[in-house]
Amino acid sequence: MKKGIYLFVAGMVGLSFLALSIPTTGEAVTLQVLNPRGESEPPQNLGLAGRVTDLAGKKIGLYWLGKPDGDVFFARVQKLLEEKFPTAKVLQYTGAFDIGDALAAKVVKEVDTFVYGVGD
Amino acid sequence: MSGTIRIEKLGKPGVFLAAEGFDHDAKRATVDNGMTPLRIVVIPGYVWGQPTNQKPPLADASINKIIDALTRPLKAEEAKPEPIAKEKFKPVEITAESYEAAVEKINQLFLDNHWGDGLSLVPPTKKAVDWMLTGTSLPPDKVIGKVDPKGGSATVEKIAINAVMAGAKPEYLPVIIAAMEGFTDPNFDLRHPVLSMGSFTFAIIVSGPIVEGLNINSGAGFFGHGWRANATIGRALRLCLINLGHTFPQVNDMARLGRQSAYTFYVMGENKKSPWPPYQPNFRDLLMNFSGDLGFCAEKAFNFKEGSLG
Repeated sequence: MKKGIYLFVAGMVGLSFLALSIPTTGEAVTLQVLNPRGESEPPQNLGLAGRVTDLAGKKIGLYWLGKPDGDVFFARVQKLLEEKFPTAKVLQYTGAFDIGDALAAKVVKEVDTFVYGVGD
Repeated sequence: MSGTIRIEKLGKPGVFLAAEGFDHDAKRATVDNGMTPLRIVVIPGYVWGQPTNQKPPLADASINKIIDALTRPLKAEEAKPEPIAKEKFKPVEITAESYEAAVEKINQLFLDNHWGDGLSLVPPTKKAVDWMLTGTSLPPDKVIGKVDPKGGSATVEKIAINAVMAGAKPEYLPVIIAAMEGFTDPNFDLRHPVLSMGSFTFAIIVSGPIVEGLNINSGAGFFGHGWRANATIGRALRLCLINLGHTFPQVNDMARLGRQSAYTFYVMGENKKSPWPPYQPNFRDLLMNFSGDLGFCAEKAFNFKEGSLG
């Protein structure tokens, strides 16, 4: 009887060691993190100005911000427009990356339609 | 782009020309500037710095598209586009088999969303952010400014979240907030140095007793590594610009060579042994100046020695 008890206890101890030696899967970890993005109110989404139906006889503005060789590109655009639309008048403008209020007002007064490129 | 929209708003129809590679940037700018139908003609092969004689053929290849954009009648959705939806940024919950795996998942998610800088981020848990906020007496919802180009609201809490991610300490927070106040000042042109092709960088000069208090390096190697304040104040500011202004390389930050302040700005303390007078009173009228912080757009670093550069 005593021997049986000893064997039972020894068996339980052995099983315990066995259980401890088996790798167990840890509990899942959940992390909640705050969002780093800045929120903003979206701007009003405006529609485009009505197009001109034909460039013939129109005043076409070309705006370039002065980066190297943009003038070469726009000179070619002007030549092509004048060839295709001999009655059109092409006006070139140069200014900052953003044209700004003052020059924008001048362009609006002087042209019917425009091409805007920054030269990048 | 903003100039094109400015003229369209005044009633004149036009077209924006974008060099190849800048088309995503241009499209995104139509959202930020509130005119999503804007007509954009992409000029394939247009590269700044290529031989001059390669430019005219690019105009030849694009002229018909330009004419079409100027004359094609508007569709209904171009004349009256759908409103732009407000983006909501909610807290994120991540579950993984271990803490380390959860941190890794958060890092990957943040980078995938363009919310990180590529280095490992400290997870901005509520507890960590509350700890960061102990560095200021300002209320978390106080708006310090709107960050270009998106105009994201720089609340004290959002700045603190980014400061946690950068590995900063709460005592650095007032310096970070002061610099953000400077960057969002309407007189400071933030848009250009965070978006332009030019590889602008930023420098922050901190003066006063806070330099020693925070152990900001003002001696040899002050632009270098090895000081937590210099490193993490700058990194927190870069993360604030990424996340509050919504910028990211190849998306709308078009710096060709990247920015030297990619991971941290040049942050330095004024050196008491400097032979020059303190910056703060001298630059007060010249540059932006808040709470002893002075921030400006900078060029690359040089060593000065006996009148020469090295």
